[in-house]
Amino acid sequence: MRKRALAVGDRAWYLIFLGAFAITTLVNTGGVRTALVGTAPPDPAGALAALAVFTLIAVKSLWRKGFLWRSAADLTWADFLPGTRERVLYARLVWAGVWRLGLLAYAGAVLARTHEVPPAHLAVVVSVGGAALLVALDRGRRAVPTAGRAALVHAWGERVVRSVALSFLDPMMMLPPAGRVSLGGRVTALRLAVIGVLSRARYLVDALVLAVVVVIVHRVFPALSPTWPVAIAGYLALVPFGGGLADLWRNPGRRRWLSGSDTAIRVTHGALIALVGAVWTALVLAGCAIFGQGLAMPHTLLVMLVVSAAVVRTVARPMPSYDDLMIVDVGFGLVPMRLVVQTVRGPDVALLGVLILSGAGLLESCVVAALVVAVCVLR
Amino acid sequence: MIEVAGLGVRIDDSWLFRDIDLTVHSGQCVALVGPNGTGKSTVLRCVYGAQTPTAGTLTVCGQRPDERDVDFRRSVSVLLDDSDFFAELTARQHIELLLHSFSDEDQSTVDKLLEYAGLSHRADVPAGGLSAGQRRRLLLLGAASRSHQVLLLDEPERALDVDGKAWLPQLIGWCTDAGVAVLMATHHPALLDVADHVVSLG
Repeated sequence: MRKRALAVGDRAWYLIFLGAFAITTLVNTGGVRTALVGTAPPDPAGALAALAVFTLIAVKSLWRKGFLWRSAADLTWADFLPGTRERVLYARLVWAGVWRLGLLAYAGAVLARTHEVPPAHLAVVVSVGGAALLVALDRGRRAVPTAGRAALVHAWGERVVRSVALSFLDPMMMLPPAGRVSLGGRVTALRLAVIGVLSRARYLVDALVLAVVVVIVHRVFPALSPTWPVAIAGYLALVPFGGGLADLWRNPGRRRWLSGSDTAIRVTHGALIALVGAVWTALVLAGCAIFGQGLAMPHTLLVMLVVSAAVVRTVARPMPSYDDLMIVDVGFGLVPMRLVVQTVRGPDVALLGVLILSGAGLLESCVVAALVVAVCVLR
Repeated sequence: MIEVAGLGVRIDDSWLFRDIDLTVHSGQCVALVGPNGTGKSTVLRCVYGAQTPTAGTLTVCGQRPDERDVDFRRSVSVLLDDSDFFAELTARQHIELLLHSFSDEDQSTVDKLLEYAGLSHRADVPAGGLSAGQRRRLLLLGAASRSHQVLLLDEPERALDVDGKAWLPQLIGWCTDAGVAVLMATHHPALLDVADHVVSLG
C-alpha cells in the first residue's frame, strides 16, 4: 500500500502556519474575545449550541461514507490478499474519525475558554457529541465489508473529478448532477429551470445547516459583522442549485435543446436561484430573531440578492481556457492571472458588492445590488 | 442554404484539408465521406460556426456561421459529437421541451414523433436509462423534429442497430422533403444512396 507523507514540500509550511495560528488562538483567548465577542457578556449556552452544531456537521459528513473508495487500479492490481481491501478502508475510516475529533476538540476548547463554559455543561455536550460520532463511525465500520467494487470505483471517480477540478482551477466540475424529479405537465424552458433546482433538492439539508451555522456564529461572535457569514454561507448554500444553469452553459449539446437567448435563460434560472436565496434568508432572519440577535432585514436581503446574482455569474461562466495563462510574478511566486480571473468569476462581484453594501445606506445599497444583478445577468 | 468556398483548416504546420468548395441547396442532401481524421467533423463544426477555419468563406442561411447567435441556432439544427441530453428528463419531455422552446410546432405530434423514432415504449423513461442506440434515436429525433432550414449530422448511424440504420434514410428524406438542406458526415453506405452529392475528403 502506498503511504503519503503529510508534510512534504510547501504543505509543510502551510501546516506550520496553520498550527501556529491554531495555538495562538487557543492561548490568546482574550484577543479572540475582543475580536469576535467584543463587549458582549459570555454566552455559554450559545457556545455549547455552536459545539453541538459543529458536531452535527462532523457526524453528517461521516454519514456520507466518503472514505469508501478505492482506485480502479488498486482494485485491479492490489486487491487479492485476504483483508487488504477492508484494512485500507478501515484505516481511512479511523483517520476520518480522528481528524474530525481533533477539530471538534479544538473548537470546543476555544469556545469554552472564550465564553467561560462551565466544565459540567461542556462534559454533557462532549459526551453526547462523542456518542453521536461513535455511532457514525460504527455505521461506517459496518459498511466496509459490504462495499462492492462498483461503489468503490464510483466514489473514487468522484474524488478524481474533485481533484481535477482543483488542479485545473475549474470548481464548476464539482457541481452536483441532477437527481430524479417528477414534475407534472409539459417541460418548458421555465419548467426546465425549476427541474434544475428541484433535482438538487438534496442540497436543501446542507443549505439548512449553513443557515444554522450563520445564526450560531452571529450569536456566539456578535462583534463579527454578520454580512460576511451571511454572504459566504449564502453563496455556498445556493451554488448547488445553479447546477441546472451550469448544465446548459458547460454543455453545448444540452443548450441546443433550448432556443431562447442566453440572457433570457440567465434571467429565468437567476430568478429561481434568487427565490431559493430569499427562502434561505428568511430562515436566517427568523433564526437570528429567535435567538436574540436580529439582523437588518433589507440589508440582509440585498446581500443575498447580490450573492444570488453572483451564483448566476459563477455557474454561467464560459469553459475555462488554458491557452494563454498570463503568468505574472507577484513577488511570492508565479500566478496564472488569466486562470485566476476565470476562476473567481462570480465571487468577484459578490466580494465587491458585499464590500460596498457593508458600508452603504439603503438607497445606495439598492442601486449597487441592481447594478450587480444587471452585470451578472447581461454578461 | 450552405455556401462554402475555398475552405481550409490548418493544424500546426499541415493542412487538415483545403480548397473545399461546397453548395447545398434547400431540399438537398450532401454526404461527406473519407477515412478517419480527414476532417469531416471539422467541416461540420466550421459550417456550424463552432470552429473558425484557417481559410475560405462560409455562408449558411445567408449569414456567417456563428453558433453563439440565437437566430443562427434556430435555423441550423445539428447532431454533433457534443450533442447531449438531460439524464433526468424522459424522451417525451425532451421533445416537449424542444417543440415548446421553438414555439412553432404542434405539441400533439409528440406521440407521433416518438413512435416514428421507435421510442414509444420508452417514452417515459428518463434518458439516463435509455440504451446507447435509443439515446442516439432521441438525439436524431431532437435534431430533425424542430423547425430548421439546415441540418448537420456527424455520423448519425453511430450506435444504431439494423432497424435504426434502416430508419435513417427515411428521417433524412423527411427533412429534405420539407426543404431542409442536409450536410452529413457518414460511413454508412445506405446514406450515400439518399445523398444528392457525395464529397470525398482525404
